[in-house]
Amino acid sequence: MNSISRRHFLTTASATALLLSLEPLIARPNNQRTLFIIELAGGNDTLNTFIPYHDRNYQQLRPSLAINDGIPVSDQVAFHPALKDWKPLLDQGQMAIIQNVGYPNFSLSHFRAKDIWQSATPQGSADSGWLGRYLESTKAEGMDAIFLGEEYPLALMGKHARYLQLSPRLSVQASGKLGQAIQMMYNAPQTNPLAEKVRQSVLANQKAIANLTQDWKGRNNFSNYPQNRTGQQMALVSRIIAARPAVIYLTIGGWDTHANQARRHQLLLEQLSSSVSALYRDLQSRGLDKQVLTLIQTEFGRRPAQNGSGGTDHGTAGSIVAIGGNVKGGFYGGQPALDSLVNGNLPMQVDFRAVYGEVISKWLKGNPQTVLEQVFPPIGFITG
Amino acid sequence: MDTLTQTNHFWRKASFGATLKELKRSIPPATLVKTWLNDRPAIPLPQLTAINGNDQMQIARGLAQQRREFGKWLLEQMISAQNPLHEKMVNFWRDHFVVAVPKVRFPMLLVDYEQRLRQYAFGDFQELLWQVTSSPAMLVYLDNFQNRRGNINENFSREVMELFTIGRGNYTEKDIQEGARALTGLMIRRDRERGTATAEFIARRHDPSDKVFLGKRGKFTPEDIVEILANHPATPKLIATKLWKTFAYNNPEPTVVDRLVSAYKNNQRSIKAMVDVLFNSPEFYSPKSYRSQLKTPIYFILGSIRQLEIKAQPERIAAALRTMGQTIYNPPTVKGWADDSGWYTAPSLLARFNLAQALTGEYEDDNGFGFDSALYSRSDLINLLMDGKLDKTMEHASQGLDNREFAALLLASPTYQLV
Repeated sequence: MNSISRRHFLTTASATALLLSLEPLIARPNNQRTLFIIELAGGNDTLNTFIPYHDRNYQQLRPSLAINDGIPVSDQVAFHPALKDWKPLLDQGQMAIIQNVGYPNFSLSHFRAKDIWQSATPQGSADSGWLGRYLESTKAEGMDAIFLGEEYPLALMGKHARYLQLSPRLSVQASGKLGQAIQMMYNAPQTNPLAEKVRQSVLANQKAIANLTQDWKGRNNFSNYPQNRTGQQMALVSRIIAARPAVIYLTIGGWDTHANQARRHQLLLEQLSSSVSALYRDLQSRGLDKQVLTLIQTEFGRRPAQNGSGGTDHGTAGSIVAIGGNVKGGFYGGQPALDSLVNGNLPMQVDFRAVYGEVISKWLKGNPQTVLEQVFPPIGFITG
Repeated sequence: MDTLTQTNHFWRKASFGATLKELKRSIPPATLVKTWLNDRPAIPLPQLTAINGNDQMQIARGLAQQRREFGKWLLEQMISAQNPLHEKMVNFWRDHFVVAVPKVRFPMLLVDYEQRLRQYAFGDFQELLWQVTSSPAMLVYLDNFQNRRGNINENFSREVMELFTIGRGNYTEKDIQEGARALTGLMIRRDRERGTATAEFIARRHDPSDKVFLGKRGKFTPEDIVEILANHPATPKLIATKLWKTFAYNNPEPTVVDRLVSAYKNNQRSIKAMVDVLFNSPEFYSPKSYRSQLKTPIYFILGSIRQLEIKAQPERIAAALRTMGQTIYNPPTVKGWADDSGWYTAPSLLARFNLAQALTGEYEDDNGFGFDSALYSRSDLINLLMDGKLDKTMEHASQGLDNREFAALLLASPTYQLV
């Protein structure tokens, strides 16, 4: 083998090793539900995603950024043209769109806003996420939640468990004499507490992967998914869903469109909508679409008025999309109040914790109060 | 700490870990710090291949080529640095004043950025902040080159306060807006064929009116904003805490932070003065500081290569970094990389076992690493990588392993993952 073909072989081999390792996790009941969170990191411009096409203020605030060729889906809302693949999901009543979602005392900082969302506390948190708390209440273990992305999300942080992180380049263990020596070394407790933490993390990750690898038999035809990065991630998600974890968390970056937004946003939405609809076609064909609730969120919407660079600056209220599960399709949260902006930003109508609360009580069948410390009025986008 | 442990500890924190020669030379840490801080490191320049042609495809290819060359050059700097403390400080500023390749796109802008960070790494913080603020790379990364009179873009104004200087809680949304107006007027002129850009201040793009910024009123310019922020009391506190966290341990005591802050205030915002105080503080050698953090992927790979003088192909290093989830000039957000607690993940940790084996292998093209095991005795390796101590389990586990395998075992050990 020359060096180029060998390198190619190695790349393929490690990608295969990863895919081999994904299904099924451990025996879980067939009715185990999965919550799939997609976080659009950077702040999606939800106003150009779900367009208030009859609102004159919209055109005035966005002289060059307003979308004029949206796909009308109600008498008030049009989809961005890049969302054409989502129309069938909406038409089938499988998609709920909750608009004007936010929280009191907005932060326009990415990191602060992400902390607030992911911790689901108004003050943010350094180490406790809402899903982390929920999972702890169910005595979840390392492989009950899976994160796909690079920056481990605060949402999954809890007191004890650290959940599985999958990156497409995860590799396998050393074997042979050295491999055995490494295993022996990692079986002995360490005296330095940090070294012990390293050891424990390695063992937990190793165990999770070993379980993942068990009895996987090769179905790895991803040809029904878009070839872009988001599409391939969604194909991976589809494999992971077969293993029925309680939570899957996927981060997609690039939404911080301060400049030259039109083209970038179009591309991002296109990749998102085609990939998510491919996932749901796949799930429907496998009879799994009712087992998975997908929630698409972002840390804030963007400013209604466009800025000086053909983009939009950080804003406040945004939209959450919910798909599948027992979703009762349609629009919630009212229309964006473009005629009564507060300091140039949208006032919120729905606290995002009410969305999480409903997900916990109606979908995960948990107790929202233990996770959110507060009861919020139901929105009604999930049926019993 | 015994002397061997203390020497290794110092080299781990101030450099990427000692080499055998460095360990045997036994120059006192205080002397080394003095030498390194007073050294004027050469500022090397990578030679990037010129972009050949001016159609879209040719430019795209040329940029891709330049990105590879730039990445290779950067790794070489880190591995072969003659002044490792300077290199670590450049790394510190790169993690602090984050810019990222995908948005900046033109590697020549990063070359320029590196020059600025390298030149001012130990200098006056105000000058460094100005160099960053007026760099084409940062102007592009946080959009400030588009921020102009009547067309405000708040991105840089926000992050310069939240992340680079005074930190959250010390400014209002109004300060961000006023700051953004003051920061107008900087733009860049691109030479697309050469892939370069220069920054300029264009008076007619600047908003010359009065601003009220952090309680001060004036017709502030970008330079004024830099001056106000560099001299704000919250700035040295933020920098001191981050320096201590990076070079010693998390959550430093207030007395320690105050000591570094005083050094900043009493020496015209000198970074060098702060670093000097840091490495001469008794707390730096306290048990709390010993093996106190998980090595980041970059540290793990570069540290191993440096300490064992491993021959390495830059592409191989880059692939290893991708596998572990950390690539240079490509952090996930403007906040930079997660601190060490964010690296207890499967990709970051499990990848190190295979790497330990690859790093200590014989040099081959498809391995990409080469280790000369004949240069090291078993006790050399224990002294160098384990501070001279091997516990019973390790003794037992390492029986029957040859020198290469033994080195791999040590690189894979829980202890070696800590700095």
